Amino acid sequence: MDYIVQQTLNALSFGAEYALIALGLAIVFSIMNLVNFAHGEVIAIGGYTMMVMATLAFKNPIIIILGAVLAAIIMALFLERIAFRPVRYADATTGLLTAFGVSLILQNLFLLLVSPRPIAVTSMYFLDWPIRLGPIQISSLQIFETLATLIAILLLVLFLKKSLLGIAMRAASLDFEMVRLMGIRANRVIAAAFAISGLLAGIAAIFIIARRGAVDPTLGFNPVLKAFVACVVGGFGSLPGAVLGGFLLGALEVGMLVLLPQSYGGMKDAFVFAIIAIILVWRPEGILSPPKEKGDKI
Amino acid sequence: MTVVPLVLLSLQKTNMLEVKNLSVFYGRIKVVHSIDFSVKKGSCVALLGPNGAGKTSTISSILGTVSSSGSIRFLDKDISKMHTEERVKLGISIAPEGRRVFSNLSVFENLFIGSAIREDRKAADEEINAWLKTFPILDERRDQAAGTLSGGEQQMLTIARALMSRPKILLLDEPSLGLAPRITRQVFELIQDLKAQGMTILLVEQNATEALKLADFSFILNSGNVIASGSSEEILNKGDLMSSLTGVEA
Ligand SMILES: Nc1ncnc2c1ncn2[C@@H]1O[C@H](COP(=O)(O)OP(=O)(O)OP(=O)(O)O)[C@@H](O)[C@H]1O
Ligand SMILES: [Mg+2]
Repeated sequence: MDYIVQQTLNALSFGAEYALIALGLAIVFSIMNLVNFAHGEVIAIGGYTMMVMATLAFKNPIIIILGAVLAAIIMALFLERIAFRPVRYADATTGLLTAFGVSLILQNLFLLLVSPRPIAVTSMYFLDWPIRLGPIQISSLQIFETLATLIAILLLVLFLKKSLLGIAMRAASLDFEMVRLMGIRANRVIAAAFAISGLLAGIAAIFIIARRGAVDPTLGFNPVLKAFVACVVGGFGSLPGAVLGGFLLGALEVGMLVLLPQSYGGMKDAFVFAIIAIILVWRPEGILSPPKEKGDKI
Repeated sequence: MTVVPLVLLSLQKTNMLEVKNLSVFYGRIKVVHSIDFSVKKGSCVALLGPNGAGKTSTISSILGTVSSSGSIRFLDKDISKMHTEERVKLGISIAPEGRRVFSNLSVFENLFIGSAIREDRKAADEEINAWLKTFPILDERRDQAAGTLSGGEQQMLTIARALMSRPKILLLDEPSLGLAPRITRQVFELIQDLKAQGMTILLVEQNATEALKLADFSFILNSGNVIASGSSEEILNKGDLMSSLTGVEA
């Protein structure tokens, strides 16, 4: 029983992390057709901001959290402005290559300017303490991570359903030009998408740092690769798909850890990706692929 | 010095939209060749012509969604260098070819997003309700995805969405395209009503008979050139109308 609860929580918290990051990728992709691989470096900026603030003797963890999230949002907006806006109307490959380039440049900057090695950041350890529920012991961090993700998703849904800008973002995922023809500035819609992706990256950074206790140049890159897979499985560009894919990937990873015999442990990822390959054979566009049409052109 | 410009000014005032020497390009291909036309305040002008004549290209250049050269003046302002969004804010609105409702948004959200540039939220909300009353079928489907509407319903929604911004001029690109005759009649009745209320309209149509009934003035476009223009009677009296509409040289 203990074991099942713990593994379920493991799956949920892994899934939550992937879902958060995948949502950040999906919201930008749905509007701009841009696979933003530099999203990982936005997460890393969150991590480095925590490191810097901790060294500057900021004590209050709430302030550090706010600082990290704010830094991630600003970074996402900054990247849009200097790197992605110039290639906004270029084809998808150009955008993809730009994102890869930005990602590599930033990783190397972290390496040169900070350190190639992990640097300890312990400010987020306060999120993690053992909780006893009768015979079961669980980690508060996993609860926080799952809850924070669910709340973020809920707020995002509210924003997309209720606010004009949110509705415009949904509309833009289908027909951006028509949104501009409603008098809504393209820059505003795109900035909103990047700001949201930055916010989600900042939240992800908090939990990654809380778990790992250290920041290094590839802090965000590997999680973003996983989130990319989650997006593909869920249906690229679909927000519900990103969430579903994230939690599915988390469940698969933990499921493989549990089910595979110890000696196969190193092959966990191979098994996970084999299952994902099968899902993609069944649904090549992903489970919840978004509609593609631009209005009904006769 | 004083009298002449004033006269010119007052003459100009009656032209809400004035297009001069307009050419439209797709990449290096020119599809509209230095055409001139204008739309007077409160009038309905029809832009007719066969498939591929350049009607959509012309109408798109007014909102700046295609690249063009020449002068486009709206309310005595040169708008040809402005962003699309700014032109919309000045009071130009379009019900585009193919309708392009936001099929993933609800009917209500389509109307709501149409009012994006408005500050008077309350009046806008009342107007949304008024539209829903006008078209009960839209009211029934208020919270359903607009993609589930029929073609005719989508056309009504598109026109209503375009009007939600309170435009000074309404551009309509083939509103009857692909609709059954009965629905087509409804669409033209709606346009007639708008005209009666004083709306300035630029109407692109292939259905020349219906368009000429509505229009105060018409232009016929062929291969990117204006080949005829005049009042509806003048156009109808020109025997080569049918041939020019079908693209065959008379
Ligand atoms: N995106 C585009 N790229 C290249 N050429 C285009 C593009 N859109 C239109 N054209 C060309 O420009 C010319 C004019 O097209 P346009 O759509 O303006 O015609 P139209 O009069 O609206 O025709 P229809 O009645 O079929 O809608 C056509 O020759 C068309 O092939
Ligand atoms: Mg056309």
